[in-house]
Amino acid sequence: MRRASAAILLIGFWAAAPSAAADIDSETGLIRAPGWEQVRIHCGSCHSHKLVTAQRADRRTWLGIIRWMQETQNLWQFEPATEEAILDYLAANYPPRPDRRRAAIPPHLMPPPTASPGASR
Amino acid sequence: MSDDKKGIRALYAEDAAEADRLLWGRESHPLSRRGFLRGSGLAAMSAALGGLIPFASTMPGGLIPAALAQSDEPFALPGKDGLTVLNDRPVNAETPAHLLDDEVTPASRLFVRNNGVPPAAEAVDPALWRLEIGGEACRRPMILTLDELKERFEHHTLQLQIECGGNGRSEFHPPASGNQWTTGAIGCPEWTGVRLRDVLEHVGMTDEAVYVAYEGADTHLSGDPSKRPISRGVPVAKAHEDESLLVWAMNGEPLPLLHGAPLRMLCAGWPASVSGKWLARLLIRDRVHDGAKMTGHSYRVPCKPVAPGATVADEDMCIIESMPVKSLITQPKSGIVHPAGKPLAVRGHAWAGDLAVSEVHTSIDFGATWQRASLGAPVNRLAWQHFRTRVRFPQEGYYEVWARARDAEGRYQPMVLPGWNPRGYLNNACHRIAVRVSA
Repeated sequence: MRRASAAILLIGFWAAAPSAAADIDSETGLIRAPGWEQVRIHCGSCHSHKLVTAQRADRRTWLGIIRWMQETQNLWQFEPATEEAILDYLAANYPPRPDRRRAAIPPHLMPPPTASPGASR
Repeated sequence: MSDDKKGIRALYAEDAAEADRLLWGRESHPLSRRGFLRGSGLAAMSAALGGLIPFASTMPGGLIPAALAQSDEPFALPGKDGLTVLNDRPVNAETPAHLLDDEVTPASRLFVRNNGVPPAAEAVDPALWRLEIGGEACRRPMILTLDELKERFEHHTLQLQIECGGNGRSEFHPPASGNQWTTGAIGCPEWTGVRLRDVLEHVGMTDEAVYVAYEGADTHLSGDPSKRPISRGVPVAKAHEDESLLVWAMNGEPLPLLHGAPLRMLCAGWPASVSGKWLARLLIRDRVHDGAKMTGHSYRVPCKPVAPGATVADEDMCIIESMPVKSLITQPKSGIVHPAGKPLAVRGHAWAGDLAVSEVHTSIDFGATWQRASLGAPVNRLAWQHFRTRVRFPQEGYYEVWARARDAEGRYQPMVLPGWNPRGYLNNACHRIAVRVSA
């Protein structure tokens, strides 16, 4: 059914997004996935890891951010393998959110959920 | 421990500046600036003071980390000042919309935006502070103490709005790099100081003068003493406006450390980054200032509009000057449940960069129809204005109240996002709050 497949797509999307189920390092807040320790070491010595975890970007934009820090903010140069690992990690774990011109009001600013969605007394 | 926590909260409610000094300054704690820089200092201070450390890292009491602000409000206490921390190194924190309800923003509710590491508390002694004035186009370079500045020039007290150029950045797509501000990097305190113009006339400017720039006493995040975290400024014409000040007081109190003690620039209506904190040097430049974060993509937008995600060359980026028209609903708080049949009082503030706001409208039907709100005149030029209205909901259900201001030249806030730009500046899309109306 059309509706069922839409629901499956939706579930698939949520599963692909970083979620509470992800393994989060309690000290840095970084998602523990391949490459995370390089990010912890190379990205956390000047600034908070929150600058990483709050950011969403595609691989090209992540590379642009790294180049900007290397050119203007004293970030050192990486070995090519290290750079690849860092970019793979960032692009996989902190990708852009779905495209939109304006998102819904975020969940923490919404009224509390009703007992039975759609029903009103 | 719970008594200590209460003490911290009370401290914040009574005097945020003193709480900031206690929590973040070094006077009470023998910690090196480096310890603060590395982040562990904050945790140690919070732990030592019994502050809340809810995210296992570095949050001082009185400031709520974003992760918790997005849960079910563990700190929803009456009268609490709860800023949302976006980043702790450097310290950046914004104010939830409903906590910006005051007509004059108190220090405890003004956003914090740092580009580098603030000077240590003992390094900003007003009695020892010296302002160096020079630059290629300065006729008589000189050094003035803060006391000389206060004695020599006429004092002015004005309410002036100050907004981060990146306020609203979090909504842009594709995402823009930088602090992911939502709506809270804005405030309108009352500032006291002298006119920048009077100081410039005192030192004299040559015909070559183009830009007035600042250098502060903050230091670069990397620890490199040869790098400035930020050094920006304004064209000579903006520096000469009546409202462009060098200020030492906010709301009748000495400037808090995080807001630039003991002296800062204040050029309202432009990105707040033109209003340098911890002001150590004024430079009268013979060219457009080329200091840190004046060039490249920093505080610049494409000179010509571009498609979302476009790559823009540095030479096609133009410096942001006046901020655009904007408004914020500060009451009620988004997410309330409101009884059916009763009108809902809605109020907030509106501002428009260098201009005044001429009208504010609200909508409860996703922008299909708009109702004009009552709008006050600004207390002085470049102060934000206050609007209020009462909305009636036709039946139960989910509503959003949207606010949209119009500036004196007829420009409105957009309902969707304004033009995408690489660094995500100038998002003035109308503010929206969610309301459920139920019996």
